[in-house]
Amino acid sequence: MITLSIRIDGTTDLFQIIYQLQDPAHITAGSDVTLEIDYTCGTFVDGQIYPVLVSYYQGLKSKGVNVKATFDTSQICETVLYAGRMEFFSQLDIPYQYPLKKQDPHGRFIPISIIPIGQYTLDHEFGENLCERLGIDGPHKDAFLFAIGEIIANITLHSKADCGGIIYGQYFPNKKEIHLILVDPGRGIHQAFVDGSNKEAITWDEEVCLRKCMEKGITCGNGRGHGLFLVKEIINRNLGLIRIVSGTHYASVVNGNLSVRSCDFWQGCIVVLEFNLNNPVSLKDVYIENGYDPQTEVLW
Amino acid sequence: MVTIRFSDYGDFLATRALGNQLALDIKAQLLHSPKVIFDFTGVQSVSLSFSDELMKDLINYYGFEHLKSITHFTNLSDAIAQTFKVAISMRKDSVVN
Repeated sequence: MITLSIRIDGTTDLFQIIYQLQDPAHITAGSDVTLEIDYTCGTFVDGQIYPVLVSYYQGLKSKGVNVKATFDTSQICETVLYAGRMEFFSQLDIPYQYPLKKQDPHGRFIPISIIPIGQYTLDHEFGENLCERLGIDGPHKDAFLFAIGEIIANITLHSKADCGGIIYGQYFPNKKEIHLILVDPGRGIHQAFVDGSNKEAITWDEEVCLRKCMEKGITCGNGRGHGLFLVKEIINRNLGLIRIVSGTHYASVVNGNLSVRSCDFWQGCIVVLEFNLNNPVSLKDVYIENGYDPQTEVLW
Repeated sequence: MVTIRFSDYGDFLATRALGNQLALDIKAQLLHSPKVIFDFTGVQSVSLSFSDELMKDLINYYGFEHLKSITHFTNLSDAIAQTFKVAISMRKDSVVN
């Protein structure tokens, strides 16, 4: 029996949770693993932590690991209630009965949701209520939905994660920002390039892959290499943030500047998007300014 | 003439696999109907990946000019129309003749 002790509190961030999930015991199919999650009651835990834990757990399950997650849900504090509202416990197969009347998530967050690989369409309710839930309308909507769609398309096409990916989003009304995180425990960006048909890309190391994956026209062979580039361009104009963690590196694009740094290992890919609702972006302008011309074609 | 309601597949059309599935369904309809209408009523968003996969499949199979004569786009938002135009523009030049 392998026990992974995870500690979360108000100071735990994305990289700290990745650090805690490093595999000290070489977990393999058939291993018995307990993910023991300990927390400080009443602390506000960064929402990004939960989908990463869910993705890790789902990834182990899909690889034939006998994994069980434990979390003391008996305490009625905001930490537990928040995790319950975002469907953290249900995604970890932890029995939990929300003790209060559940607040309507409209305009506040997307609960932790699975992005399936095998099925060809997303859950109907996911798309239908996405913008309503996050309070997005008008000029923000098209570019925002486009960006999410491209990341989801990447997960379904490139990750090779049998369990699919995970998405979670939250609206911060004081900052007028939406933070999204999309996680998969798949093969990772570097491996996708190694496995692909782009002969030049096969030789790239992890850092180069992360730099290149957001460049126009760069593809591992599947796809055309435009989706992630356009997402980056949308974020740049929005003065938001995009962060991509894969393997032992992560790329960040903030204020148009790309940086790649090292981090603890994540098997798969984590994409963090931060949208600033004070800066609407026109999808049409993004297309035109980057040489995609939607003007000359006429749909019939 | 047959109408394919894209919203029957979801209102948020993102994945290449979905584009592939829709292409199959459209081809099946065109076996029995001279023309297919693409109705986007209720569709909130399409990704470029989805649009590219769909148009790649259809343009490669039917050829661009013939595809134009047997299909018709209707009820698209501006953003969805722009994305399809970009996808078509990118694919037109790589038609397999």
